[in-house]
Amino acid sequence: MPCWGWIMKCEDMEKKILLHESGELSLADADELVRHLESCTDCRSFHDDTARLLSTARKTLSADGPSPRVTAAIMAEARARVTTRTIAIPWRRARAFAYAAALVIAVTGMILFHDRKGPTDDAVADRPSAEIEQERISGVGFLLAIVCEDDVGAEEYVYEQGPQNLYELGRQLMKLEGLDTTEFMQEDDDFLSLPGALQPIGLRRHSVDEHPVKICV
Amino acid sequence: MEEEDKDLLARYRQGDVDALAVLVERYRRPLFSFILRMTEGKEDADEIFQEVWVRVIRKIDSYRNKSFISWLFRIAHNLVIDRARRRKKFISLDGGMSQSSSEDSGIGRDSTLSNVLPSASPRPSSVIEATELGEKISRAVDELPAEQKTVFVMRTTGELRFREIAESQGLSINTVLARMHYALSKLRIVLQEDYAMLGVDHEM
Repeated sequence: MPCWGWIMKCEDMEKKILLHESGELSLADADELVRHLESCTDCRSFHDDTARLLSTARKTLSADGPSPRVTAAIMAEARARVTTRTIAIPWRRARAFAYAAALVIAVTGMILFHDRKGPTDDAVADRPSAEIEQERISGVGFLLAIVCEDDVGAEEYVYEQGPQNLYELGRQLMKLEGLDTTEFMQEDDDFLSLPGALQPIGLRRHSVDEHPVKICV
Repeated sequence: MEEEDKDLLARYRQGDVDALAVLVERYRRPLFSFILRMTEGKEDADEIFQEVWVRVIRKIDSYRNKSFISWLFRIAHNLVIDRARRRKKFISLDGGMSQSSSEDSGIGRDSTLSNVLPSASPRPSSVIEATELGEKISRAVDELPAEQKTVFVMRTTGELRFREIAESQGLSINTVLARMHYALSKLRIVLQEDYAMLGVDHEM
């Protein structure tokens, strides 16, 4: 039996027994564990029971595998996906740039039209700048939504193109509109966020467990 | 030497479908065993297994260089929970059944797993499970609280390491070890009389 002073040590050792069983214990810790087991009957009993239980549970709970038709369906999807990726990506990328080009033309036209009307146009001059900026953001959001809205949907677009392309397009469009693009810098390896201003406009973040962010139209 | 998961994924990204076939085969039994134990039957397990791989295939570009097995089991675990939620068949902690009020009724991943994951149900029998001891172990595992059962089943059938389980569940390794410890303590009590019959595969 362990003496009372060992109780804390035994709790620690039980964790080490689990880590040893899974092959995650360092050599130094394993040596310490072996020495402890030589003199502690409780931990030795825990070790032996755990080894027996896990060994039997593995045999008991293991199943053969899914039906052969399931594996066949997975491989069919894998093959189809490879084909789609090969064919579709250049076309979609070209389409994204086509939309961007269309936007450039549209913005240029708007600027020319705006200049011709001049600053005396009361309808424009009286409007608050925040409202005009909101309209511009809406325009960018609308164009991004069009880019995403294809036959397979926005989610598929993001999987195919990678979200960075969509963000880059959004960033360029906002620059063209003279809008602040600093929020586009807030990206890291796992989490890509759209600027908050774009989220209510046709693009919204949708959190899912296995993929933190999806872009949906 | 066995080709690493990340290398196989890289090959599949480049169009080599055979590389994915190797991965599917590698995780066929552990992943299916995990799903089967966490769901209500082989038909459900077949469907979820297929859906897991379809998601892997579709999201392969968003996969970052973390542990593939953790990612794989995280997808599987999420799908198991989603399916349980869709059925709106909640098993309360005391074994009673009730209907959910809403799909988005604030179900947290860790706090209420016990409410959404299925309880024990008849399983396809294996050689050991066909025995009385096998049935006893199987029943005891199914009666564990869901969080403990998840860790225990991932470790035994999935052969995930504790660090991989922690990554898969978004938990600290200490929490995972604690859950495993609680699970083992409960199983030891239930199976106390049967220890003489349990086999030993390895010694220190």
